Amino acid sequence: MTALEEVACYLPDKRVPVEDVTAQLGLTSMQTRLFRRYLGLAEIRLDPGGTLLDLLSAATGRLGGLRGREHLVRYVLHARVMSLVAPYPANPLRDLCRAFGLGHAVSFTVTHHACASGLLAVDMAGRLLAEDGDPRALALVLTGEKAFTRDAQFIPGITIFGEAAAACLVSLDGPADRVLSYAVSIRGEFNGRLDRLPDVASRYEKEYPASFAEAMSAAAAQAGVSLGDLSLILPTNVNMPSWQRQCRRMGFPVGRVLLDNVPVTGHAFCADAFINYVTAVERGLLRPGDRYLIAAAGFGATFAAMVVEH
Amino acid sequence: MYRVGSPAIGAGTAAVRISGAARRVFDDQAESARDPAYRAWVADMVRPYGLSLREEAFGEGLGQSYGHMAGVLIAEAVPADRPVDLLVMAFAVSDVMPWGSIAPHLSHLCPGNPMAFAVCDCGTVAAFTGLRLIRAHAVAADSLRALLVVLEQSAIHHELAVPAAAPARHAAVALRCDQAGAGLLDSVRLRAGVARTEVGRLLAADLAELSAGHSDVTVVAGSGVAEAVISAAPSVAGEVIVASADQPSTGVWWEVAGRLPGWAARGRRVLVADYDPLPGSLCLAAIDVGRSSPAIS
Repeated sequence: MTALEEVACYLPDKRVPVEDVTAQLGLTSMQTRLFRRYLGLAEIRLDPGGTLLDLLSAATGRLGGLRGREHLVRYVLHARVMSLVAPYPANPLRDLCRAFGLGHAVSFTVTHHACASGLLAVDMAGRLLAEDGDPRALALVLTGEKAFTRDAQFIPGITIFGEAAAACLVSLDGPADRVLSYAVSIRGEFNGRLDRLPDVASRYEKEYPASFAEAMSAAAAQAGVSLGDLSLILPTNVNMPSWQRQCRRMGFPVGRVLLDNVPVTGHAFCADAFINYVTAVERGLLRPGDRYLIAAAGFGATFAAMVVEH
Repeated sequence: MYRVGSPAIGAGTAAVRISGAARRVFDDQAESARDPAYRAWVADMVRPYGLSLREEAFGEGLGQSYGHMAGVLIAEAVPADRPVDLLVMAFAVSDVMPWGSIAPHLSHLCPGNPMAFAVCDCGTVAAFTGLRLIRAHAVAADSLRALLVVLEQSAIHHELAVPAAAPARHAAVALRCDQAGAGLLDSVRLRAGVARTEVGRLLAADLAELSAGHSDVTVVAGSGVAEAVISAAPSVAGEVIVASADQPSTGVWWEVAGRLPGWAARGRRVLVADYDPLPGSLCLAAIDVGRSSPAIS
């Protein structure tokens, strides 16, 4: 059974007020107020001098369980929103493998599930390890991206992207968090630049809550639990009101969705769920045996959920 | 809705058979190659690396979209009455629509509305990673029906970060996998961190092992391993086909796709090998193409 053996995250020290970010993007004061007052984004984590390799390395370096066990790592997966982030054939992921003594590991990026690619990577890592059949083997799943271009810095009226990273050691068993199920609904009719496709954007907005709820319910059913049995939902840090609406629709208490990081990180691409996991553990919000759900929706569109037992 | 439980260790390996293939070269260019948003994306991306843009490539509107290329192959390889459950895109060079999630778009187009995703950043051997992932998904599936689409487009709109193999044309290959079909995917080996000096020795050992007991072997070698394969050829009974260096990612699979029906008619043990020195990835796939298996579409 796929297990999240250890999760570490890195949040750059630099907290940029949302007003500074929107000014740099040339947004209006009304758009700025929308981000702060309505969407609940106050500060965005950014690492302006750092590279993607720096970001991912900082998270990987915080994984205490990796040290001395590098030889057991068979796969290194980078779960990414964007497929094109470095000039061909530069490969920061491979550079990371070499830097951390993981040069022997097969490495690749998994993408096109947008912000839900992290869950895909965890499921994929478990499947690769299971087929190999070595109970000691490990996979490393990395998340986090640079907001290096305008398209990667914000989604108008929805969110502002932050730079942070997470590293997750995946194993096949053990006392760690065990993955019980994974569900994903792929709705490719919503792919495209929605800023140029107002009709598609409008339909996506209407269908988003039901599709997302359906994915979460499917993951719960596959795990043999009801949504009410879940002690916590670890969301993407897109904004506050979308989760408040989602909870009302699902009849799930919003107090059991960890939204504390939304105002202080920005939406850190695929890393949100793992950052939120670390917060949940640090604050003692998960007890042994608790079942929780990781949820992520991605433009394009992908609605994904994973039920995990702590 | 794709939904699964956790995979169990030791669940074994399910049979994956290549049951059909399609290949295509694209001479046209995508409109998005001229999109100012694409130019801005590439310019912002290369700035920290101190690389120049290739303005002539932007000016001429060169470049293709993998959504378009894969869409054409899906129409050929996945008829409405034979849907698939899994679609894997594999590429090394990005296309000219980097803001999109093309795999979901393809899922929408593809009969079966399959689970779909893309893999990259594993060099020109990305297709081997894709096949490995299809095998890993097959373990848990009741019935595997999958499509691997290997893609490369030739327009790179910036100086290369370091010298590397680059495609000379836009090309795509689709391999359809089912539980029935002529080509049994017997083995997919991925090796990482292999230095160029080790390739010959490792490859010779792998080829000897995988061809042992077979007298009807065909080795399809990518340009990255051509020399090593030819050196090892005396120990391998059979023919060697060297793929075009103009298609670093699709070349070996282009040969496989084109020759599958012929191999099926006479039966072959096909070993596909390639190497990308930048990630140091040495990959090898063994496919048993049987005479008595169902015909390839």
